Amino acid sequence: MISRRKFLLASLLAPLFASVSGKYAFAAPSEVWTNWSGALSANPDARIAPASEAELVQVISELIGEIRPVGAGHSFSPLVPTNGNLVVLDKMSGLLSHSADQHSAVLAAGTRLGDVGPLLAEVGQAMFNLPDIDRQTLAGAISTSTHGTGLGLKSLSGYVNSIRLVTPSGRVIELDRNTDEERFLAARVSLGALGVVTQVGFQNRTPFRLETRSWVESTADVIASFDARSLEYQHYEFLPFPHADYSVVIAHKETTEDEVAPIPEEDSGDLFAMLNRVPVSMRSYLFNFLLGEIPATQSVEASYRALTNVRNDRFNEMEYSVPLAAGLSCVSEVLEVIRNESIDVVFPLEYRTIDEDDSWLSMFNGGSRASISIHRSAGLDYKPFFDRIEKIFLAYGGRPHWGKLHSLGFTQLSELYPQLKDFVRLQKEFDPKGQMLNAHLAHVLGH
Amino acid sequence: MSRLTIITLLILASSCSQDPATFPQVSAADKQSAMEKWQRSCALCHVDGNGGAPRMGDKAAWQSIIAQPSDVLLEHMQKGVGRMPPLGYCMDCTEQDFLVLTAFMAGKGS
Repeated sequence: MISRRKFLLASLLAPLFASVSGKYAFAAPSEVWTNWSGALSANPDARIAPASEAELVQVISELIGEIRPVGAGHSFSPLVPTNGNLVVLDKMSGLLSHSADQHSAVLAAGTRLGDVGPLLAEVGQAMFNLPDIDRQTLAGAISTSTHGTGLGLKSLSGYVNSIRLVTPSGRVIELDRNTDEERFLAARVSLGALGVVTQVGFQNRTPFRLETRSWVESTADVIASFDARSLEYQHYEFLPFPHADYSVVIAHKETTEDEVAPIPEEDSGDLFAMLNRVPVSMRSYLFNFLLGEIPATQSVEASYRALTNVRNDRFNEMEYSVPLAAGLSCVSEVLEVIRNESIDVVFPLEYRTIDEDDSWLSMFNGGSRASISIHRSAGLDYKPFFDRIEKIFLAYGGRPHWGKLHSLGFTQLSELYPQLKDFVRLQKEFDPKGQMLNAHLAHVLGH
Repeated sequence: MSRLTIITLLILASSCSQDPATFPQVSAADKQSAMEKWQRSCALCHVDGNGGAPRMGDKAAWQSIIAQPSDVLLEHMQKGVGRMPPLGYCMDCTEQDFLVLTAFMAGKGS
């Protein structure tokens, strides 16, 4: 808890810090950083929010100790927590340049995904795909291989065609496939371990509208029809409810029809809170009854509005991506284990598919995969549930999402990500003093 | 009573205060900096009322919030409250910023 006394003390110390840090925005050091779910926190010695790459270059080489960049704080895995220097990307935001001919654009790394759609629409462009939460920054999203859904569509980092970052020594490095393919493919999914990403270039396309349909259907039927339907729709996913026989299906198809606004969704927050209090033995009856009441919906919107939504209910999440051919068997086994072992969980799972890309640390390097997510409401103990299901994910050859919870260290990760050792070699080259590594990164990168 | 005990009691008394929040007077530059942060972060929810967030300028909705002590408000900012995530998506907001922005959205000015 922040006491008034602590606040007053921080206010008194602020001018002192201003004199030490000059014109740079160092926050009072007593302030705690916390991630979106509330499960991770840290007490950084300094919080630095450069307004430009030039400002970052000037300040970063003077920093002593650990340096961790933060976007929107949406990662569940401890990529960000540091008691050293926290570099906030928020002020580096916006569209920097674009090519109308190539349908490509360069954006500042701290731009929120939710701001990218309107910015690109103004210059006649749109991203191919988006994740369903749009609060993250571009740097945070690509650095963890964040993705949406759709066979034939890649994760966000798969569309990155150039990237600029600043190393801890203050060196600016610009990378693309033509000038330095090895470093470029490492930097596209970098976990923020090579330096602070400042600019990201994307290959985009012309703006498009999507017809969105969602409905409730028997999970057995959804699984039986999945392969055919995921070819029929551009973006296709389902959210099977544990302890229930039904899933919510969300499907998007490109259209030239006029916009039809979606019906505003009812707030589900109190419902999840209520369901958390219902004994597991009664959930099946209750869920099946409630899910049967959810009506089908249909709307037409600009792609960036159709693909994203606001998540009001905070949670912790584990996500593994398994080879596409194993995905439906894996999600079926997870649902079976939750039911047979009466695991206390109310949040639906999420099942998505993503095409192959060649970023070294992409979950989708080497082949298309199905990503399966499990969630537990924020504030509840997720560990026993996640530990149990992680064993199933690993048995199916799953790779953990870098920004979500997992228990793996370097030895296991290097078996799942064949180029992890190459990445570690480059990490040492970019950051010889290891300043970009917090305890979690040192663990996963084998330092 | 030892000096340490007295200091501890004073700190506890201060942190348990039920007085309504007091909002800092800030310079024009600090106010502008806070407004930039508001636009990037707070506006995501407090303009449209996403997730039940009190809308900016809805004085009735904000009255019960600003009636709370400053340290309670700051704890809510730090840990999140209701559907608002910790730090309200503002990674570079200082405690002063949080109080200035609360006053701004509540229509109190500063």
